[in-house]
Amino acid sequence: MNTWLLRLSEFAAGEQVLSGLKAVVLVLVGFVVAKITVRSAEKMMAGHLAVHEKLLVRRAVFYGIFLLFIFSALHQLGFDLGVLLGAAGIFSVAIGFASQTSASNLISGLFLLGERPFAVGDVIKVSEITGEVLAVDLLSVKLRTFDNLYVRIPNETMIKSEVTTLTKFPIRRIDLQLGIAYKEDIGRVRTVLLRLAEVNLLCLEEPKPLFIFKGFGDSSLDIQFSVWARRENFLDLRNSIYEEIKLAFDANGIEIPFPHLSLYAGSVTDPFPVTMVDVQGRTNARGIGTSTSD
Amino acid sequence: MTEAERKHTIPWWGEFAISPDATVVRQVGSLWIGVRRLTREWQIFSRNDETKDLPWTETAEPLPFVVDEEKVLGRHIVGSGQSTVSLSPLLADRPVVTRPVVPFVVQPGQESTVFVSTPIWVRLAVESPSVVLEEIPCQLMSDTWFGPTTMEGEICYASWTSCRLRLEELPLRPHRAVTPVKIKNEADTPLLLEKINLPVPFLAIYSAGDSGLWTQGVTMIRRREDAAVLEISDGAPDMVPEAAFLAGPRKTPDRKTFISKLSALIG
Repeated sequence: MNTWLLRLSEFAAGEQVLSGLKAVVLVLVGFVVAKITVRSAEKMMAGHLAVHEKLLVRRAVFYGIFLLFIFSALHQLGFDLGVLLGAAGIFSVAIGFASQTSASNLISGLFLLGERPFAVGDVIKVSEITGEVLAVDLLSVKLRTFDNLYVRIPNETMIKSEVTTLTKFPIRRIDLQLGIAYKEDIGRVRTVLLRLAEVNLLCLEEPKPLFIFKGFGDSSLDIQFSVWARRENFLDLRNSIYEEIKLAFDANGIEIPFPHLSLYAGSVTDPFPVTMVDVQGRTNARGIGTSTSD
Repeated sequence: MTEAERKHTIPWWGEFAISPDATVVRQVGSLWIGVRRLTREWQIFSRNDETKDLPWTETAEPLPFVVDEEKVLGRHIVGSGQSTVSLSPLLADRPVVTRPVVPFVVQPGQESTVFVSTPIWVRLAVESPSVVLEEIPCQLMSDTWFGPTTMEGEICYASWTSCRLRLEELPLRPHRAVTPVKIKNEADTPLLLEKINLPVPFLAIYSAGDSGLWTQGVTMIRRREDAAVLEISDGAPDMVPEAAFLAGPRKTPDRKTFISKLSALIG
């Protein structure tokens, strides 16, 4: 018992314990210093950076400082950092090969941060996906689609393909594709449409609405009528103007034709045979039909 | 002055006492406003027979306004001690781009004063005027964009003006305020006036009795090809020096002179 106590007290006074204590103190101090530095860094960059950038800097500063203190703690405990670094070097090469895609995503993310084509809150369209940006993280961008689904898009995809930011500019143009019957007077239709745009409050007076005659279509005269609206009113104007066009066309007797085909038997062939069928379904002598009475 | 014009000179603004369960009805141009005081709430009714400000709109006599048959615009819970409602005129909350029905040209070295009118808003408030119940426009104006490109600029209201040059030709309209705009062309080339961007939120309103509502004068000077200066005068305009101050601007400008690109003021 006494020997054991003696050994304990000797051990306690030994250098190893001292180093151990120093290491623990270093780690604790490191933790506290890292936290304080993060707080003051946050205060300094309060207004300058976006939300996700702040998070990034916080994490980088914290782990950077903490790791420094951990390394010196390990040094205190007697570990040879050289060996550690060597092993880490080989390890990182292996990791590097394995994580090519992630590294690419990471670097793409950094470039995106620098370029800032969009920010959190913007609505973007990537290939077929449209949604509101929830977060721009290191490896990916998170979107919420309009039907409330969560989509994660890797940063690599963002860098490689076109990204449309729908909320970049305050006004937006709506292109309305219309078809009118061949018999209609294009000038009159133009007047009706321009007057409609003037009366609609959501439609901007400037830039002026555009009337473009696109060509002679298969079944109709194809027209594009483009009007501008504030971004926030885009959907409201789009719905209201289609309704108003329909009403205005009906009121002015302008026909929007159904697709139709004209059949010709040809100039050198006989005309199409036609059978006259009376109300009761009886046919005349030579035609085909079904009798319902008799 | 015609009977209709005389009726319009009686100010529609001011403080009106309302007894419990009573209704106050006022008419401003084609806009009707009714305020009904009930025990627990105040109800606001309004109807506008001609909302949109278009060049072909003619002011017609509106149909009678029967409060019980109208739509409720708003219901407000205010303190039971309130017994007066104040109606005051207000100008538009955005700059107004006003276009002459027929554009005209100001030759080099010439200046001209045009009288441009913009629709008034009616502000309904209690506690004189610190608690605003509603702000109702007398005429609705279309949105428009004013700026050099579709990427930079601002959303404004679009309005039409006959751009009258003679004071005597100005019709008396209680639902619009007149701004005298002096345009000076100090450059060497003619200036085609197709639209004027009026900084309406910075203007105050003056009442000139029989001559209707006015704002301060605004001067636009074209210095060079693309540079212009906008100056907002102080006080009532020279044409109606006796006009009384009625309401301050929505926004106080930090300066009275704005140096800008010509395209930001006149198009």
